[in-house]
Amino acid sequence: MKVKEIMDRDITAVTPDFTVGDLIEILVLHRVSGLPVVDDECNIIGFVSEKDIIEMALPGYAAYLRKISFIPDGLKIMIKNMKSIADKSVREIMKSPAIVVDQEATTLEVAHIMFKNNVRRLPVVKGGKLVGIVSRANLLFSFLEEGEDES
Amino acid sequence: MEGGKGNLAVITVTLNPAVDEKYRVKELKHRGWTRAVEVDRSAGGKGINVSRILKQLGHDSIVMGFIGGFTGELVRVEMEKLEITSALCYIKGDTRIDTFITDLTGELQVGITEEGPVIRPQELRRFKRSYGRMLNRADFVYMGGSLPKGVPDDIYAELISEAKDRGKMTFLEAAGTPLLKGIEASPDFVKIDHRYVSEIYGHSIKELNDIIKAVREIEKKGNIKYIVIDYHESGDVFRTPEGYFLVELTEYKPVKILGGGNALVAAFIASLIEGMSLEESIIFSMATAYEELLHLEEGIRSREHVERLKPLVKLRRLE
Repeated sequence: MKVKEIMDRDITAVTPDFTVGDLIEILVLHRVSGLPVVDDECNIIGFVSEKDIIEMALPGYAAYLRKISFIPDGLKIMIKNMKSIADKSVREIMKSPAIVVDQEATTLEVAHIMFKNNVRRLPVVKGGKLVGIVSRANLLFSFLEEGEDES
Repeated sequence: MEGGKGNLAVITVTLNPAVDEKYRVKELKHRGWTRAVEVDRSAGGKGINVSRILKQLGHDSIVMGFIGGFTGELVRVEMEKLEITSALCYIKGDTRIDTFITDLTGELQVGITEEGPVIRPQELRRFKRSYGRMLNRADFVYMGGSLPKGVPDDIYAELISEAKDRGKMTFLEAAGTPLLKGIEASPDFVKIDHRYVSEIYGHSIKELNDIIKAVREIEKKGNIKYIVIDYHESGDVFRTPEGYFLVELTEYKPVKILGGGNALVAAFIASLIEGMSLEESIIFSMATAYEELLHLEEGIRSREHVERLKPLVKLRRLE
């Protein structure tokens, strides 16, 4: 099976000049954890997720996470930092270049890319332009369906 | 047909989409409860209908507009099921629901339509930016329908101007002030319901000559290539760069009354993509519009069904 058969065809994206505040609002309304970043021609230039925002609000948060004492202090720092981060641009926090997959790739190739890079959502492109997004759930569901076809 | 290099060919804009809820009841009583015999919920709104029919005719498009809440989710999920690409702008408000009730005889029809959500300034800004980006990926832009609150009534004019500046062909199907202002931006194609024509130009449409007069009025306001006005329930007038045409159906037995207009415009866009001659385009569009009205489900049954209806379409050039 090919990616284009299982992907979501919602191509919501942000541009690098979006503010982090706007990005957070879109993530909330859209109920997703991350979005592709595109240029004016819809070429994918990066990917931005909740994790990138947290990392900026709380540098080295992964290290903090291992300590129980993180919660009260970390939260205070985070709330303070969030206000200044909201005006920053997506450009400053996005991961670039983005990991993408061509719409003609097989689901097996997608699985490989996802697990290798530990990403949940992968933008799907055709000729470099965003045409959809594939999630782990899309992938698992396609494997389930393929299994049913065989049995 | 999908264009090369990720090009999606057609953008359809539905600023105030809806969930259409259709109930069929045995008998609608003035008081008390009625059990529904059949319920159908589907994504509605002019641009969404156009995208659905384009897909059925074999063409990809991208749906744009505002959606929100669980009703908005229903719209998005349906686009997903139909494999139609969407770049919808998520809003805080809820997508409206339009309710239609018909009884089993089909004679009693009741409709309730909601105004829709309020669009906040940042949501409108977000939509416009996304629209500007998407224009790079399309050659045709369709926009139509009512506007939600918070969206200015010159929005169609603005979207048309931007698309035209970038060399895109624009299609408009609207009413009232948004239509009037849209016309002034000179879209390439405009389809107007005769009821609005009389509303705007003050004279009712009784004979062909009244339509020609109305078209002349519209021509003064904007430089439009194609103007389509319905003449009677099964006949339209097309004003084209090659002259006036009257297109009529020799048989007319519809099972529903709404949706034909969107189908007509969708088919016309498809005919331009496929490079049909003008006369072929008009006949194909009319046959598609009729096919949409021959069953309760949204859209057309198949392209073959459309082809079969073509012999019922009569085209006459008006001198």
